[in-house]
Amino acid sequence: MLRLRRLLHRLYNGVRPSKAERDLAREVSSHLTLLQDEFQRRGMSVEEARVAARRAFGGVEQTKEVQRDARSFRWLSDLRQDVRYASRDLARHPGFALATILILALGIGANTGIFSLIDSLLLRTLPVPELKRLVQILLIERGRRGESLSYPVVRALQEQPDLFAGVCGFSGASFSAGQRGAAERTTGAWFSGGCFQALAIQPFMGRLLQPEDDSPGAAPAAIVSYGFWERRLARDPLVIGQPILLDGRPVDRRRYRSRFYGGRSWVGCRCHASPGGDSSDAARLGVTRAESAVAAGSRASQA
Amino acid sequence: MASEQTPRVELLQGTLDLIVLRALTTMGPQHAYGLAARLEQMADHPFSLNQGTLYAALVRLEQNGWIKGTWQTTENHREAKYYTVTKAGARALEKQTERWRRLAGLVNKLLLGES
Repeated sequence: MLRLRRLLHRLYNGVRPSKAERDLAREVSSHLTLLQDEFQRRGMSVEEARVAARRAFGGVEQTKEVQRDARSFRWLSDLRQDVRYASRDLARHPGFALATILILALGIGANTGIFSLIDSLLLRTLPVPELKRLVQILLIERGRRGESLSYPVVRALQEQPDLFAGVCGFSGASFSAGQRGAAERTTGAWFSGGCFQALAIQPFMGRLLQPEDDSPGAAPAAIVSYGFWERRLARDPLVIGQPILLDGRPVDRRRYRSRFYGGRSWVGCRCHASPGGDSSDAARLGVTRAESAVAAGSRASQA
Repeated sequence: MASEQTPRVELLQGTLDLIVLRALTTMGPQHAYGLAARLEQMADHPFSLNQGTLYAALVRLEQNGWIKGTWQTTENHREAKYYTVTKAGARALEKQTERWRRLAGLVNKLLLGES
């Protein structure tokens, strides 16, 4: 409590030193006067006494400095002085000041903008448990990065449990999604059924896509992001299990809380049932950004 | 500040506050000049008190709320800032003196072998 009291006093004196400064000057002056009186009492002349008093007191400015340090913080009073000099200087050269301020503003603004962009695109980690075990699989063709892996490759990888504990195949797409007559263009993706299991994500409501959804003949299923649910479906809990129209075809809907895409409207749909149910469509889908495989323990280094 | 004075000053910083507090308790309200004179008297061995450290001690004590300074007139019609010990200051002095006594006793015993 004592510390706090002193701290507050010192901070205050740092930013508003004038009263304390006047008081100090007054006190030192009074001290010198009393000393001078004493010397005069001992028989010195006024002038002699004044000089003797000064000498007896010691360094006036030094004394004041030590007192200032005790009553405030040196860095704070120095800072205050620097700010005053700087502002006075800038006031004398307004053109220079304006140019400097503009350049700083532009620089800071640009930096902030770029950082926010990079932060949301690259640095934000996926809200996936065990992120360290997540790897991305790329195709390299003739020494160069290929476009994507095709769906059959994804299936093949899924069937290698020693290599990967789970595989998620994923292909961005845009759908027209919504109720009849109220559909809108939405970004979304095709997903392989094992995706969400591999990523160990929990749905907010309803269920996520599962490997069974990939089997031929299984009913088409879709999940929507939280953002979509909020914006387009008015957070209606009854929509689970109700069909949603994707590109004109009814698909069973599940719900899903999505963070990946920053809450944009987003609809996920499983891979195998492209609206035509055509397996060649499945091959076309490929996997663009493989959120992909969860490495099985130490095998990751060998993969 | 002469270099030979510096070590002495640093040793005293914490205890100087207590010494000033004690002096004010004994003497009653006093101004900086009076305190300086009295302190130099009190010590068996004369020590030259750096005025800066005295003023710093007074600031610390005031900021802790242990003393209060008010401007008054001396007998010779000069103005001076008189310091008085507050109630909190009196309590603090008691507590700190006790601590100091115990510490000194311990140091005596351990360092100097006196009990």
